[in-house]
Amino acid sequence: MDIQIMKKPKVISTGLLIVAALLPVIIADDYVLRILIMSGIFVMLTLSLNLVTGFTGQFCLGWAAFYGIGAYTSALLTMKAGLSFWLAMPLGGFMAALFGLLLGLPTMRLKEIYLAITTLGFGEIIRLIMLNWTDLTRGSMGLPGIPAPMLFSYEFSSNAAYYYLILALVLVTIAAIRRLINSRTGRALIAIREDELAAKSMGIDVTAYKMLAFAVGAFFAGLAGSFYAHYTSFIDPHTFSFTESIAILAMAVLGGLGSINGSILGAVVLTIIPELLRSIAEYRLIVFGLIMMAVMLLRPQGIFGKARESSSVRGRSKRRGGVRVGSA
Amino acid sequence: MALLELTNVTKRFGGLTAIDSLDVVIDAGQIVGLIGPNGAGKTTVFNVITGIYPLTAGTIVLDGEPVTNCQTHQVTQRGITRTFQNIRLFTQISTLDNVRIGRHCRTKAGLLAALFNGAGAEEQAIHDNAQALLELVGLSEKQNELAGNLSYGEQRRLEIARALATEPKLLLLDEPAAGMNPQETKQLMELIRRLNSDGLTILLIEHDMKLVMNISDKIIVLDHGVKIAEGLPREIQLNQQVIEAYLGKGAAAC
Repeated sequence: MDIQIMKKPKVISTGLLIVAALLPVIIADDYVLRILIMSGIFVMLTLSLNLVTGFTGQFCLGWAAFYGIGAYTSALLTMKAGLSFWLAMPLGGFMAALFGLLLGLPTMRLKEIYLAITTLGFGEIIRLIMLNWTDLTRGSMGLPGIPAPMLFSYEFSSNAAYYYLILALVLVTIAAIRRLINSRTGRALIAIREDELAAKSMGIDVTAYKMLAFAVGAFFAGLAGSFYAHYTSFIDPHTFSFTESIAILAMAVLGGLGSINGSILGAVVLTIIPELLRSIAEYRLIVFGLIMMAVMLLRPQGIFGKARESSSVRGRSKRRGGVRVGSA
Repeated sequence: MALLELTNVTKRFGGLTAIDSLDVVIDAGQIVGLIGPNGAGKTTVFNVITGIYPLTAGTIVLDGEPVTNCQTHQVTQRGITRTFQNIRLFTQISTLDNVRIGRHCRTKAGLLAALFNGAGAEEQAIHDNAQALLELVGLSEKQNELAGNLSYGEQRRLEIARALATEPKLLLLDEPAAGMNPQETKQLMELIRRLNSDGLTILLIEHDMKLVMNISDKIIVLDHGVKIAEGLPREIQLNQQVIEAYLGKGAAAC
């Protein structure tokens, strides 16, 4: 790769990072910080979904389930087993990854819209378990009083502290997914997205790699869930509903499937816009919907997605069931 | 020495017998042509060899090891790789990345190596190897282009480079010259000869008779899933049954 081309994004990303690190110093407003923290959570969720849908080409309509599994696992482990947040968070991630593997299993045979419906069903099952396993989850009463993370003797209490924690988590997620995508494993995932049969013929164990993508993606969604649980100190099953899955998918598509920068931008923009529109009260969701429609009409491949070359379509897009994929 | 041995290979789709008790022996170092009229079952033979379709009956042995009903990726691992009649490249990624993906089954780096940047040496080797293969098929200058943007002939050559990246013992080429102009076909023929002289065994399906007769050590003719002839190109050209299969009984009588 040309070094000249590499330099510019590096300057931009370093600049953005410095701005991100200084934000809590500039802005002391709790409301704004809270929105930024939620943006961070959604960046993690969108990036992790993008690994599965954007890079591996596997449609998923139940991503909020992994978010919820991470949240509940981590909350229950700290509340009932007295574990530290720092242990409960990765365990929440691993639990989500385990379910990711389980959901990866049916992808052996299912594709496109059939897979989408299966994942939708999976999302609903997880939500219903959270709702009805009242002995453990207290159902729709939710879990209040989830302890805040402690770092040695310091308890996370200010929004600024949580902001830095989520910033660190987001950076880890970005680094992990970027490295993964640029590795042998990532190339295998992209090959599966591009053409499953050709991927198999190149010696790629398609089933194993699809399951891997689901597991790794779910892990990061689980981490985001754990952070959310300890940040808000209260969770209930309604947070992890189908609507949330759709919101995450919308962020990934708007930003550009198969683009890391796109996921980041999509998540931040779609978290902030509804807040900016609060002044117009009941019209805000209408305007929000119109903005999304406009973006999809003007840039169907998403903000950062690369345009599909017409020469390469040649009837192949049919096989992908209309899932538009950008480029890494 | 036999590299690939198909014994009594049969593939039925419901009531249709696509391949009927086919016996084929391919010796190491040979170029074998597989020809036959449209719908004779040639591509189906490729699909059963590479494990895309499970066999109804019969055995397939590669280099003394059975590969019958292995999964496709395992067959590639064992040393059989193919190209496709209707080119199946990874169109939205670069030409170089297409070939790098071909290195998959000969490399090892996993998830942890990816996350902790631990595959530097292997990545370099993959990169070098992929570049060397692109040079071999004459696509070095296109290495950063999206595969989908290459011309038809270039895409066919890229598919061969990608297949070679898996280090096959046996390369299956499914109509490699389809849609190529005479100049491109000539280049392709030279490439196939060169690969063969480097020790690669090749089984090719081809409708371009000039190409296939010129290049093959042996030709196998399929019709309606049955092997109707096998022999040297010269023998096949004169074979009455083959002429009938291609042109009909009347033509053969003329």
